[in-house]
Amino acid sequence: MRAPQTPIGRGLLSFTLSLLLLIVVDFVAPDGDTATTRIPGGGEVLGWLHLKQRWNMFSDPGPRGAFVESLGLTADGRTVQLIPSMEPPDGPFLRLGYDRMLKVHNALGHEKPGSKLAQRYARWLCAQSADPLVSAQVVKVALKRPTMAQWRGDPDAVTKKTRVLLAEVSCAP
Amino acid sequence: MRAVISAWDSFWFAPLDPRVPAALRIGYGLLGLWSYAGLWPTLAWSLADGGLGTGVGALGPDVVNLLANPLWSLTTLGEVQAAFLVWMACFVALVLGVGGRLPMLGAWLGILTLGERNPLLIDGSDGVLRVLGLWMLFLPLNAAWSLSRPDPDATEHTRWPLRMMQLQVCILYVKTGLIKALYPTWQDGSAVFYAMASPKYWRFPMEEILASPAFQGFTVLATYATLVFELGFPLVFVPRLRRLWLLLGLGLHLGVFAFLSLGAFSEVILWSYLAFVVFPPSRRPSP
Repeated sequence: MRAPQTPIGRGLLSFTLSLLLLIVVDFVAPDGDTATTRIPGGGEVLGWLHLKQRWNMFSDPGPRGAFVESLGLTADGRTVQLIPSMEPPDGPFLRLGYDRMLKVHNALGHEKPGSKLAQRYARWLCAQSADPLVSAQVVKVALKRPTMAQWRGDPDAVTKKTRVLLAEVSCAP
Repeated sequence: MRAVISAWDSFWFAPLDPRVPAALRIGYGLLGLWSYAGLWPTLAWSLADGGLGTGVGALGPDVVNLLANPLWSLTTLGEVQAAFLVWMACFVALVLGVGGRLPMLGAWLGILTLGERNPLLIDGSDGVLRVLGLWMLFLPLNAAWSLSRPDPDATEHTRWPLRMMQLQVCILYVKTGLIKALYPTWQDGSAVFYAMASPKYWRFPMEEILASPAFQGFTVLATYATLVFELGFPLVFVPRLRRLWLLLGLGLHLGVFAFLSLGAFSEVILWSYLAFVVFPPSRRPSP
């Protein structure tokens, strides 16, 4: 797009762009990731322009993590895994592509038992089996991996796992 | 004072080399195909009615949402699949450089829709394509390396949308560097180790590598180097340092790509570096 040709037009455009950048900088300021701006109306402007943003990837990696098991109980008493967990050996080994279910599981990994998201996911699981299911369960497996020093001292140091039932729903029609 | 005004004007409004937006356009199209074509088999659960969408689409479109984004009205699997194919066609058109600005608008609108309809699905790569995509709408995308007719006004375009992209990338890096610096694992040098110790992101089994003292030493160095690189990214505007900083970024993101499967983030952020590239003068006028 061509720029304004007059000095006033150019000045106004560059001032507006600078102000917009200032709002973006304020929005993403590292004050606990509140994702708000102190500039009046700034949040609305960013919303209209679809410029709201957070850049906190790997901001706090640590020994804790979680993965999710998506389980179904069949009428004959078997427990089946309906969606692969994202943990080895089901994880994304040697895949160039990207399974966005990982993002859903990441979100579930931060949920508490009985949360809306966990319930919704459990209800959705009921429809993911060719065999009729009696119930579906969403289980979070919270991990505490060895620290760097523990791993150095003992290459066989083990990861501690704690299972938490996030949701269980009946699959009866 | 006059020198300052002149420098300011030149920063925003110097003439634009049409090869830069052309390279960005082709990269955006390829990245869109690379990043989103794989969503096709997931549409039933990711974006259509009865799936896991948690955005406004899952609650039903209202007038405001429809005005902001007409794609809200498409909710059945068939409608979503049709819209998805049009979205992919937009990315193909961007690669070829046909269709004027419409393919860019369509590609960007699709990314907005993805994030709004199912926020659970999106990651940093979608965020970069969304915020930089806005400024792409104002660039002369087909003025070079395209199948379109040459743009007679190509030489009259100025840099301001490109500057917005460059500054947005700087904000991204400095922000992430600042917030990392607040956390203990980045302060004690263990952050990269823990990032690599997360099996759900592994490209290959890494237990043995992680237990190696030499690799652990490398991860400590990589932790501090990442902080220096990210906080120092504005140095990319210093002409003598631009190439060095971009090469450092290339090394960082290729390293991450080699070890961890983080969606398309490495590819997308490296694509954004095209906004900083200065092409050698062409021997003949651009088509």
